[in-house]
Amino acid sequence: MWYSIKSIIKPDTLAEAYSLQQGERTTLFSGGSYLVAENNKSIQTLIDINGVISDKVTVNKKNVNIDAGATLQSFIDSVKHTKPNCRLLDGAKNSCPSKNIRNQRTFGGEVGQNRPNSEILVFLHAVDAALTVFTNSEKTISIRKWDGKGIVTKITYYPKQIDSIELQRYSVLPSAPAIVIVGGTRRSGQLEFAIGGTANNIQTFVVRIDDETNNSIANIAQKAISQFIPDHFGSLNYKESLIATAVKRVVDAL
Amino acid sequence: MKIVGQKTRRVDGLALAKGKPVFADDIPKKDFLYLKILHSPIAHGRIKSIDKSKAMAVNGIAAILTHEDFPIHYFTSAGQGYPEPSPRDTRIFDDTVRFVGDRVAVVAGESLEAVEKSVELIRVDYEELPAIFDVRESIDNKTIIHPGKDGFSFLHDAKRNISANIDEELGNVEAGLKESSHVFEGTYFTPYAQQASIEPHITLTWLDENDRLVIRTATQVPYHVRRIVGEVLNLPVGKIRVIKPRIGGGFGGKQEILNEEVCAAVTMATGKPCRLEYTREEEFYAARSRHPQYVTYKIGLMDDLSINAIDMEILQNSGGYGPHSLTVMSVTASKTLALYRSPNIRIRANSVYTNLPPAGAYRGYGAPQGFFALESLMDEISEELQVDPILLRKKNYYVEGEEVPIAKVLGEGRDGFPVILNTNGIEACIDRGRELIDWDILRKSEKTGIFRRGVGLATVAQASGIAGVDMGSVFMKMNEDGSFNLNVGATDLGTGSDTALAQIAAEVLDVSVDKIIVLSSDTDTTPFDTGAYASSTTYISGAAVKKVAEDILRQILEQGKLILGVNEAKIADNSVIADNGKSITYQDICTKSFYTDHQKQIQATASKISYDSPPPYNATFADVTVDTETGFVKVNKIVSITDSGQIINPQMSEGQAEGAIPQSLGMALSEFMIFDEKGRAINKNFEDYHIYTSIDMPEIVAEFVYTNEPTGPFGAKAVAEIPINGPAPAVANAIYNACGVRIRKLPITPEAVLTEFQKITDEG
Repeated sequence: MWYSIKSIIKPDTLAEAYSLQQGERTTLFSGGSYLVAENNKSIQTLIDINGVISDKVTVNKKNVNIDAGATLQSFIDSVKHTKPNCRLLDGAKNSCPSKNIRNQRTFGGEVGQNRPNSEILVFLHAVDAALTVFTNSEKTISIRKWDGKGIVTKITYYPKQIDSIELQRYSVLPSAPAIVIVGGTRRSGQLEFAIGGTANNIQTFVVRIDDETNNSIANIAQKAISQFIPDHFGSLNYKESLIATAVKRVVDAL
Repeated sequence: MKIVGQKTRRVDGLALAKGKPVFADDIPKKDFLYLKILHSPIAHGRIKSIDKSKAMAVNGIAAILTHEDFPIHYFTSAGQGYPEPSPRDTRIFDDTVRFVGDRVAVVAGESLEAVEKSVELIRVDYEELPAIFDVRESIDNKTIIHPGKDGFSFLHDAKRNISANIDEELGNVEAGLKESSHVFEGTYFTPYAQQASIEPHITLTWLDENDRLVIRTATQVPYHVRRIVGEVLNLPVGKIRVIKPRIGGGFGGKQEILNEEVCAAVTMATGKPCRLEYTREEEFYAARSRHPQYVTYKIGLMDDLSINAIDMEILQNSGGYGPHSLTVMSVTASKTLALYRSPNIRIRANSVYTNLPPAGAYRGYGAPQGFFALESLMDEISEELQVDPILLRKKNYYVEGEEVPIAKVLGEGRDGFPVILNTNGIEACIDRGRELIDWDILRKSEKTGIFRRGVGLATVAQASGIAGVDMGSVFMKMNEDGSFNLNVGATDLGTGSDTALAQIAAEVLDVSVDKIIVLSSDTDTTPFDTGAYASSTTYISGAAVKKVAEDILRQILEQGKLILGVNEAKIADNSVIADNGKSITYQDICTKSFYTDHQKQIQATASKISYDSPPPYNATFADVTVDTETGFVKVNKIVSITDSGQIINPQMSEGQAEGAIPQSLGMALSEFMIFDEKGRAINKNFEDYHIYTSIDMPEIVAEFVYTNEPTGPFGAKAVAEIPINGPAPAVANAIYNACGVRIRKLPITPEAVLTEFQKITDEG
């Protein structure tokens, strides 16, 4: 039971939602699947933003637009026949194996939660997706630069700008949270990597394709491990070797 | 046979599928008090004082009970035969806490919200005591976890922290090892693991119109609940009724009187109906789990590969209390030592206390731990001696007609009974599994490259109930539409046993299964049964059902002859047919017997106690791929072939295998409970504790070979536990076959595989 909840508010505008979000012991929700699971008793006010965000997924020649209110399942249904989105589609499935919960969990919520072991998020970092974020007004910002403030209303990425995409995920079981996820893209003469998993945050690395590429790639695991923590599924040494292997495999695939 | 051996719709299937209110919590809860337990935040300590004033002041709180409200009385929470072989080391609430999660108080209030708030406001002053977290440091530690007070009993050696001990020898092991040509030894570790039932522990209690205590609870052992609650609360059992509705899984976790006595105590104290349900998190740190064990085998073989001596040692972690500690350890020994013939056998075992959560019963009940060790070592021996692992095993199995001597020595906490094998289908299991897994091809396939594929085998045994302990009883009566009420004490914990028992009755009476109306597990209306554990229901309760149905059939025939006025008749097509051609249907026999002719109720009771416990056997094969750059193991396929005698219901029996296999795969690769340096559980939810789910499952092939066990109903042996024993060692052996890495500690983590693989690579 969640006795700490005193009120649930449905704001009429994004501005109102944002203003409410600044209050103490409040949190936004749209699908609410994380919220219910976490049952955080420090929260007293829930802000239901379903009325102020959209839930469409639009795939066109230039880009893929995902409104923050789109559920993971509606995304899967929208893009399952669109080839460049396959990895994100898998990511949506792997990040949340239950279809019932995918029917609840929203893209905006997934981004807002900012969980480093979310395959979707690693993918979006790898493709350098653009977020439309409302603070006092709407602005567009790279997901890699977002500070977590404001309300995400839309996620956009540009498959045409990317030559190739690869994502490697390692977990004890397919249904278990990933220990290491490495996403990579090749575009405009460079390789870009996003690395997540049981870590403090998702890190990105950009490597120019030149004579130093191999050396630069070799150093990625060493740098990335600083954001990981040892646990019962692996020491830092092991995780570093796992990241190195994953990066190597991503590069091979790119 | 028309019905036994056939797939049939479960007797409770429609109600479950339609979402009918069949579970413990599915009743109206008007005026119920909601209960929450305050659990200890420390691993070991004495309670100096408890201030509940602020907690009681929360609006809607009706009662808070602590150790101060109960007389000192020690019991065991293990739901076992009586007198229980587990140590009586537990109080309903104690002034000492022995693990993080131990019970300190119960709060009862009008809403869960109020109760949750109130629990947080109880102030407890603890005198913290040194704690023991490593089982290897417990014996003879300066810290004594149960210092011993009046009322303790069955506790082996409190001063040394030993809750239970086994020391038995058949033949002369030292001499046997000396005269052996080859001696091999290995120590293997298995960790705490969760039963992970979908439905957590839940109990509802109330006083009926006659002020009798009613306990509606998710339990595997209703009669043990009645006995133990009666003892703890000093109530005659005649004042208590226990009802077991449908259960959302038990797997041994509900062979425990976990909270029933607490819920009942609050009802007795307040006069109000009460409800106490554990959260998933509480299930992890305050319920029961599989006993962690270090198991060491030393095996001596002669040149002809026959085993000459087996020396076995077990060091088992009981946790803070000792429910099932002796008997789980006893099963670890008795089931593994019943597979291979050896003239010299020794077992030395200690179950010791630590300040971690108490373990308890979990499907397999010690056998999975033992078979991981034994079947890993058998594989190591075959590798060392360069002999076919199947050949080595076949050379040493007990065969039909042989006596299994260990069974006489290790019963449930006392001497057992002799087992002479009437049936043993293990070789047929191996031969079928070998074919289905492509053993001969995959075993010898090229083991190079990054991804390496291998196959492994484990052969295992279990038992069919506990000889001389388990008893099932039934009552049956006939209705005028030709249906029959079958009231059984047996407990269907989701296994489908109600359906299997209905099939046995229907087969005897030559009626369809839907003519059998099963009512099970209500201590007021169904006769005694020890409960659903030890793979006993089909073998023991099924035999009682067969017996009662045969009695009913005899009565139908006699009554039919009386009504027809003939001396000779037979039963066919649901009728009694006389030699002269006259006949009368079942329906008419019952109707006339009720109202007009030779009036009586056709009814019977029967009980079954067995001094036999024939082992079911199983061969499990695993096909795995090891990623040698990361250490990750993917299980491609599991083949599980079982000899459970005559299968009563193939669909449900396959379901038993399909349910047991993921539990054992979890044990092999992904499941273990971990604790921080203060003894606090770290992984308390399914995000951090990884059970196999549907998307994780490999291909599974579950089949049965036929044997006809003469002591079982229609030739049946047990099926419930046996399939859980094999997958973990089979996977470990398959990993070795794939990449040469031998891991003796479960779960087999990717890091462990990679580390060992790199050692092999570096060495060679």
